[in-house]
Amino acid sequence: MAEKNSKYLSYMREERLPHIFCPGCSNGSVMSAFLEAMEKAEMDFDNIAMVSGIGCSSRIPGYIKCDSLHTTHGRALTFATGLKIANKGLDVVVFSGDGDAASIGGNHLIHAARRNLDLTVICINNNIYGMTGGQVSPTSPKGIVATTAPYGNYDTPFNLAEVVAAAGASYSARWTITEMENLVLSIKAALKTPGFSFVEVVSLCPTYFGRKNKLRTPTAMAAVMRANTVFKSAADRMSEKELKDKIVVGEFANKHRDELSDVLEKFSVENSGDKTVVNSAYETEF
Amino acid sequence: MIIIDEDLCKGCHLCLFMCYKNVYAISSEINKKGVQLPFVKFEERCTKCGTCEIACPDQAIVVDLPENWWMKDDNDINFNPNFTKGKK
Amino acid sequence: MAEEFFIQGNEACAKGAIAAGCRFFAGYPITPSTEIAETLAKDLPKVGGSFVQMEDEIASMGAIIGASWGGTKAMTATSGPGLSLMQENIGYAFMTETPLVIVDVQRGSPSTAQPTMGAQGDMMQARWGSHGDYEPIALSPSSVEEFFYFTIKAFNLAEEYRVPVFLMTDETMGHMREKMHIDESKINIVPRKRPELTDDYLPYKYVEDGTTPMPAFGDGFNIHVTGLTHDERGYPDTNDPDAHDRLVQRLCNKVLNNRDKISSVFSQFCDDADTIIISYGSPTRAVIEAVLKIRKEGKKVGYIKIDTPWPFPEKQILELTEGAKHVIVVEMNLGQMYYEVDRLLKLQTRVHFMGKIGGLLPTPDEIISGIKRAEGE
Repeated sequence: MAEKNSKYLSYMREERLPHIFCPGCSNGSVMSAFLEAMEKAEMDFDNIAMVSGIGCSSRIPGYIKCDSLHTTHGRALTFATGLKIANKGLDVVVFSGDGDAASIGGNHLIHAARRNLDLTVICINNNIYGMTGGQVSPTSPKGIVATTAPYGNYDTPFNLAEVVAAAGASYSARWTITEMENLVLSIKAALKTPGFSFVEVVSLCPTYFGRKNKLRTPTAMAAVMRANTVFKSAADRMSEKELKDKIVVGEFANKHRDELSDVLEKFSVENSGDKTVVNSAYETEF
Repeated sequence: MIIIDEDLCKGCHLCLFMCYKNVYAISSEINKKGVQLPFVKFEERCTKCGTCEIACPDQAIVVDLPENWWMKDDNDINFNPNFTKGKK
Repeated sequence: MAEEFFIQGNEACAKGAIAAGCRFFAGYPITPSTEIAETLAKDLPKVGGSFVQMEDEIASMGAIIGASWGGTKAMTATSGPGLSLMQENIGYAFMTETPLVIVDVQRGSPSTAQPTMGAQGDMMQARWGSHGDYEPIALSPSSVEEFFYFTIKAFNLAEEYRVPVFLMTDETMGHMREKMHIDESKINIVPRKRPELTDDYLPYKYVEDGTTPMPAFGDGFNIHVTGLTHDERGYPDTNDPDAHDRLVQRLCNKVLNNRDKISSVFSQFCDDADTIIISYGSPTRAVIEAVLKIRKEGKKVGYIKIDTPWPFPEKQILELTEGAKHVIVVEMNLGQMYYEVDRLLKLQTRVHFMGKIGGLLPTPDEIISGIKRAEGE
């Protein structure tokens, strides 16, 4: 009775496989983790719309059998905002990378979190710009070597999950790729949370991050990542010195807040009665 | 029963790293794509937790789970069904 | 049923948008376009629509593209600096064939310049602002009533050809109040065409007239929309030179092949005219006044008002200016559409330029002295 193909392949555009990701790239793992979380959350796959920007991680929606919008660099969240408000029934999921979400789209990220629109954002943070060939990113740890930081990165990295939590998101969490079980359950929680939910996945880029930083194989990178992972509850009791170079994982926000599309619908219903405008572009009478 | 799709595997060996029970090993041969494929060496150790299936970046691993065990109880957030058997 | 209003240009635009079926607006406050956002913030919830104020113009543009794929007619309004920010996403909208309307209430430029003064400095930005080859549609109203009807026309053209449509107006028009006469029988709405879901469905199929019906997200088409060069299925195909050539040619040709159908001009007294004045947008009002005045002196002067600066109405202008000795282009910049007219007519007539910047409309007297200067040369 064994299925020959992975159960995830039935959700994917099989004609496009194998995908373009390098060996050991975590994007594929996060894609599987997302599909697993979708199954666990018992979500309707026909109702999913995926939005992504530019970058390696943003290629993921192109491999999943659903309505997908592959947009401009950093602006995925703005497209998702319009899509979700125009059709509240869709479950909008945004895939983005660290350069996409933290750098060029940083403004959109904090404002989307502030508005608390019901989006699920999965940010695959590989600490580097992979698609353009290994440049330093806003989440690169201090001291790492990249093509645009040949003497070591001198900038302080962004703490994305905490930034989003502080901006007012309903749900914010960070996991590493080695915490696979927690990651799946966290994505499931994010999908179920009404309001802006953000899951940062610290991931592996063996081709550009590993090669430049003496971690040539995916397994070596994963081993270092697992050794540096600290749970939030433990990190709260640790000093700043102890936390240097550590990756703190856990949930940074999980609260209930008013959700924007509900509020907008309430305005509309109060002002216009029970009128729906979904797919109104196809109508002739207004 | 674990099946590895040789066409999709790119040989990152994350399955070896992620497996809690060290089920996998690396073959010494290189296939036509230049990949040293992993293979299942100690199948009797496998608890069917499914972590390798999710962690495989290339969707190349199929673990034959007995049933959709996560569908059983919505509140049961434990990942590995075999771990929780003793507690209940 | 007919109604009359005494109304501001920007408010007329907002009314036109609602009449055309616009149910989503995303914008960012910028003088002099803010009244459009303000009016729609008040009126859209009354018809079940949504208004969002985004964090910047880039986000506004993104949100309306998203809303358009969500199955709603969407629009944004901005001014020169905002339009500059939007350009990347405008290019995306052309590549993905997303119908939307962008209202540009132009102000003194470049940079921040004169927020409360009119200008027509963004005409070439609307044409060439984003990178690459594309063919935009732009409309330019010259009265408040026209602003209302052109907004509806802009939505119709956007849906018909699946392109972003610009509404290039200026501060003078946006903030001017005048009487507007709405005749509901004149309002014609073009709905979006819904594709049929078949097994061999191709979202970007190559068809003769270039425009394929557009599905909405959530309808079960499982489409992939991307700004990368894509094949007929919508999947990226970035290394095939032919695929790119075929795609971009089709995107341009769907507007260019219908150029004569889309573009329109309004003209008067051109049959016998020695001198013809070409203008668009609010300076046309002064041009009409000047032409009427100078014709009383016995001079044979006519005028052409361009309704659609893009695609440029080449055929109509060539026909109308056939017998003219002088053509004068009046606009509120230092020469933008002038070069387009000059390119078209330089072999058959003398093309003069009369530009005025600083924020004020050219007066009829200034135009009359301009006509005399041109004829005396």
